[in-house]
Formats: sequence, structure tokens, C-alpha cells
Amino acid sequence: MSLGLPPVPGAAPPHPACSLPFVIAPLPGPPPGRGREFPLHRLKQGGLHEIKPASYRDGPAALAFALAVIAAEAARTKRRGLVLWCLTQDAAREWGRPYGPGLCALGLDPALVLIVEARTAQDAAWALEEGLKSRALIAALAQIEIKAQLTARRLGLAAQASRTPCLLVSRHQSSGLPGTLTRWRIATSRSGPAPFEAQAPGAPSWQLTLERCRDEAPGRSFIVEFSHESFRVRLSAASSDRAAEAGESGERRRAETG
Amino acid sequence: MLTAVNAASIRQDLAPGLGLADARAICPALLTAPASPKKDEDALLDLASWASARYSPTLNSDGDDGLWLDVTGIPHLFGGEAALLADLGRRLARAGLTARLALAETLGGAHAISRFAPASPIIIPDGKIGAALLPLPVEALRLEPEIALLLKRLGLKRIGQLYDLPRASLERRFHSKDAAEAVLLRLDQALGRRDEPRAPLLPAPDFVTRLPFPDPLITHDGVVAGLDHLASALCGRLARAGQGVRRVGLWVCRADGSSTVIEAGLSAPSREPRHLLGLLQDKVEAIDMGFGVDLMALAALLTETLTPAQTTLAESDGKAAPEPLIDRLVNRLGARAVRRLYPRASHIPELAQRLRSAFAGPSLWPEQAAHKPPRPPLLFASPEPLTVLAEIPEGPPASFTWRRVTRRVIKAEGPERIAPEWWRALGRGRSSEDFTPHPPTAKGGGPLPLPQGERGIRGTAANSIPSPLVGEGGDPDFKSGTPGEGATKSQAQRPRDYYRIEDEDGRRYWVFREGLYQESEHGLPCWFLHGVFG
Repeated sequence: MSLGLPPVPGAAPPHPACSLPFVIAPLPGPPPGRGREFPLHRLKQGGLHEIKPASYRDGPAALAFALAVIAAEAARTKRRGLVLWCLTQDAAREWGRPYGPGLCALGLDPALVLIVEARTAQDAAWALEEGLKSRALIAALAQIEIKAQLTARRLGLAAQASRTPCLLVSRHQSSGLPGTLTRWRIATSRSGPAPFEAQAPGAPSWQLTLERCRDEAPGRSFIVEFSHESFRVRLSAASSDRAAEAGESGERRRAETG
Repeated sequence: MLTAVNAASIRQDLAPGLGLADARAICPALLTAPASPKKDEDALLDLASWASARYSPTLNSDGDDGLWLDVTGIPHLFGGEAALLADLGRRLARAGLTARLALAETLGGAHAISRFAPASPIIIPDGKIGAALLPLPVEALRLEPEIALLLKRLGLKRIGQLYDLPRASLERRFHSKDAAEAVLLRLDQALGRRDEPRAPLLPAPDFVTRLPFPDPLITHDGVVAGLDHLASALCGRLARAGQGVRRVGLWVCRADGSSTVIEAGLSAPSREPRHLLGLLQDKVEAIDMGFGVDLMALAALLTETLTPAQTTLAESDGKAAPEPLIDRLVNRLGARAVRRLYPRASHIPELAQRLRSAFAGPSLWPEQAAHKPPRPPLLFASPEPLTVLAEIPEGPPASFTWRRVTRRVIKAEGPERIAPEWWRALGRGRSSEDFTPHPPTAKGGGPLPLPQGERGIRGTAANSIPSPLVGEGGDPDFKSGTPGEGATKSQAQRPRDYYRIEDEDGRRYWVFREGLYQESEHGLPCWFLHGVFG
């Protein structure tokens, strides 16, 4: 990004480190420093990524974010392959079943989605591992509570070996799993203004906190937005203004407040 | 037109080829049934397969209504030719079939005699075929109807008249070399002067491979190795026939005479030995070996045409085909657990998609589905009742209570009114259960009637959820209510107003009010949560 070119207003320059279609909102001012780079692109790496809701009621937010990431990945791979969605019957009862028109609204073609609704978490984890090993997947999404550390390690290794991103939406109280490439904590955030109607909810926005990521400082927090027009996740304008601060002093402040 | 008649009709002077009106005029009490040539053909082939197992493997259908069997070297098994024909005739009669049987040294001769000889069964001894055919009409020679007619016009009505005819003159009289040649060919074939190639019915290829063991196998590893061998052999056979297997079965027969069958289904036809092995291997591990396995058989129970796919040089992005994965998952977890989303033309949200087994193949979603009003990625199987504070008669909720937690609504969009699809009930005449699989009405006779509020705002209380009190952050173990049990048809067909609402933390929900305050004769409207946007 240190090209010295003035940023074009309205244009969305791609992230320098990836070809993923995650875009950072255009920023005025000097080229961004270290703090600006929020490693959203790490989610496309083959491996296990844990997305953890900040509270019980943020479960659907974690799923929606994971689906948006997978939708972008599916669009990048020109929709060759399947998206495996493993869930348990308990999870389906708790938050509902996958709904095709809703997946369309997130930019994911429902025809790609293969749903495995297993009775137990063990069966769902087995299906997930088979899927990761098959090399037929674009990405995998799991709504499973994994208790055994060995299972998590196996899943992580299978995902890395087949270079398939596996997004695991875990429970908010559970402790971090081993074998994950990244771990994120997500909470909903108030949406921005809707374009034509003041009273309507705007673009969905989530507050993402990076809890664990190799080569990255943990603890940084950003607000990302999902655009229903371009089907992309991007940093929201309000958050990116504070990005430099969040990168350096934000960490310290978070450490103080606990 | 009559195509076939029974013996009673023949006595009434009815014959095939007669128009139905004429036949009715002759015999007013005539019973008729529509002809189905395809079924007749199938029945004839069934009969052929029975006869091939019992009498002779070399046989085929002869015209639309006959069978020929080559019984060379067989009659002594039945005690002679007469005993063979008697046995066949008796069995056919017991099956309710009227049959005319003849045994002769040539195919053409047997055809002619069985159809046109006065008696049945008839056995023509070798060398006597010429004399036997002598009095029969020329139609018996398997000629085209026009040629037979022409022969009759020439005064050649009996086969015997053709015997001494100079062959050159026959051709001259016909003015057509082909027609004369056809007559001579059939005559020679019937008399045995010229050879007639027979095309026997080939048995349907059966895709079964067997592997017997001289000593019983006692380990599962041996069975897996045998399975590997069988799968390669079966797939080679399938490849030669251009077929792929959709359902495969493995018979494992133990030394004590008991056997076990393992089956596996495939989502797409395949003839990949490794894939079949992978599907069956897990199940082989679970079988009981008993005293050892002395026979294994692998059979393709259901096959489909599988044309060889072209291998490509380009676009090798390392992605494997998804079918093996689907097969593995389905065979372990069951067809109901592995499903795909299929679109369905309906405005009712829960009817707009269908979850079907992944064996049904890939689905195709319309492109414009993404541009419709937003829908949540997760939808509850049965909408969950809400207690809502909302403006009446129409307005989004101001606050709502869901799963025992009350949220304040700060942003709302709507309503999006979705009316019942009245045309479905008209079109197919189906029941209302099909119309709405989960009629989202509260159990127990609808909402509680509340007194009219003073300020134009009032709460509409639906039945609370029968679940333990769960606070935010607690262990969620919700059992959603089972609405719809007490729903009447009129309640199931109420219009819905959907709202997209956002609470103070930014969580977005998809709620709807079922029913209108203006038309509250079916009970007051009630609110439900149908999905969560996240």
C-alpha cells in the first residue's frame, strides 16, 4: 500500500496481502501503517478458524459472518466444489435450519451447500473431517461443540492438509481449542444508517476481536460491515477512522480494562 | 379395431382386424379391453425367461405372439419329444395360456405348422417337413401380406403348389426380383434347403462377481482384500457394458451356511473400484465372521448408463468430485441427515425451499433470488411465539420478549405482507396440512384476549414458551413450542406482516404478525419470530 498514490474516493483498493475480495473502506490521509491491516484475509487460509460469539445471543451473528466469508471464498473459486455445513440437531433446534433464500441474500449460492445434520457432535465432527479430507470442498462451516482437544487437532490437521478453510462456530463459554489458525470473537454492533429509510436497519455490522492469530498481535478489535450490494465484508468507515489508534493504544487500553 | 380375440369370440365369427363398431353389431355383449402391445411384449419376454430356465436356453420371440425354442439334444431329458411337448402344453394350460405347439426340423416349418396346422401339438419327424407343409396356405411362409396376396392372385394358394414351380418363371410373374427372392428364401428355409440364422435372446448381463475361498477366511482383513478383488472385477464388467452402479450389495456367506448382506447407495453412477471399496469397507468391519467366510459375492443391484467422462488438461485446481464424499456421508449417517437445499416456487417463507436428500442431485437456484427482500440465513422450523408491544392496527414492534428476554427495538423495516397462497388449495385440492406444514399459530386456542389499552398501544401476549427460565449467557436448552396443533384452517391461512427489526445491541430479527386487526374474527393477531439475521 505504500505506493504514494492518492487514494481514489469511492474506490475500494484490495488488501495488499491477499487476493480475497475483502476490501477496506477508502481512507483519507497517509498510507496506513501496521495497525490498519486487520487480518481478515487469514480466514481464507486452509485450516481451522474458530469464531466465537461474545455472548449467547451473538451465535447467529457468528454464523452470518462465517457465511459471508464463505460466500466470498465460493465466489473466488468460481463455485467449483461444495460448501459443507455440519451442524447437530440441537444447534438446528436452537437457531433454526439453513434457509436458502437467506443464503442468497448473503451472496452464497444455496445449490453449493451440503447440509449434514447429525444427531451427535461426534457424528458431525466425523462428517466434517471426512469433508475436509475429501478435497471436494470450497470451505466448511461447523456448528458443533467440540469438547475433545484431539478432535480439534485432527480437524485442524485435515483442514491444513487439504487447504480447506474450516470455520467453526463454537459456544461463547467454551475455552479456546488447540490446532486453530485463528480465533475471533464476534459481537453484533449497531448498524449504520440505511440508504433510503432512516428507521430501517442498515448494513449488518459486527465487532470482531482477534483473539489468536499467528504473526499477529491479538486483542485488536474492529467493526466490519457486510454489504448486501457487493456481498463483501469490509471494515466500516467509522471503525477504520480509529484503526491507527486501535492498533497501538487500543491494545494497551484493552489490556487495562481487561 | 380388434387386435386379438378369444375362442368364444371366434365362435361368434369375430376376427382380428374387424372394426369395433362392426364387432359390436355382430355381438352386442362383446367385452373389450384396450390393447397394450408393450405389455404383451413384456409378458412374452417373461414367458421366454421361464421357458429358457425350464426347457432350452436357446430361444427367442417369434413375431408378436410366438416363441421358438431350439430343443436339439434336450427331449431325452423329458422322455422324448412327445413328452416334452405334452409337459410344455400342460404347464401353459395351467397358467391359463392357450398355446399351439409344433416341433419340426426347421424354424420356418415349425412356425407354419404351429399356426396353420389343424391339430396341436404336432411333431413332424425328420425328412417329412415337405409333406407336412404341402396343404398349408402360403401365408404360413412368413411372407409380407402383399406378397402373399399376390401369390393368391396368381392362383398359388397352397405351399405345395410352389414346390414344382420353375424358379425363373416365378420371378417373371412377380415383375420384382426382391419379392420372388423373398418367396423362394422363405420356402427354402421352411424346407431346410437353405440355412436360417437364429438370433437367440441373450440373457441380460448380470453384474455379479463371486469369490469362493477353499479355506474359510477368519479375519476382516481377508474380507477387505477379497472385496478389493471383487470390486475391480465388477467395475471392469461395468466399464465394458458402459454402466455405472447406483446401489451395490455384498453377500458374505459363512461356513455354517448363514450369510450377511451389506448394501450401499451412491448419489451418482460410478464404476470406481476404490470408491466402492471405501463405501463398503466400514460396514465390513462390523460383520460377524462366525466360523469363517467361504464365499463372497459383489453385485450391482441398480445400474445406470455411465458414459465415460472426458478427462481435461485445463482447470486442474485440485478439487475432487463431491460425489464420493456425499456417498460416504449418506452411507454412514443416513439419507435423512445429508441434505441439500432445493428452491420451491412459493411466497410463504417456510415453503420457499425444500430440504431433500443429497442423492436427489444438484439443485438450481434462480439468479434473482439474491435481489429479493432480505431473508435470514437461519429459519426456525416452527416460528417461535413472541410477546410484543406494538402499535395497532399496524406497526412494527416497539419491544418484544423472546426466550424470556425483553429487547427494545430501535430500528424496523416493514411491513412486508405475505398473503396465503389461495390458489394452491384450488389447484391441487390438497389438504391444508400440505399448504402450511407448520401453521404458525399458538397452541391452545390462540392469544389471550387483553382489554383495550387507553393509548392505542397494547401488548399482544402469545403463549409463553414452555421452557425453563434461561437468562442471557445461560445454558440454552430451548424446546420450541409446537404450534399448529390446535390450528384450524382459517387460522392457518391468515396473512402475515413481516418486519425486519434491530434491537439496541444491533441484533436483527425477522418477526411477523399473523392476522390483521381489521379482520379479527378468527382471533386476535399474534406475533412470531421466524428467523434471526445475526
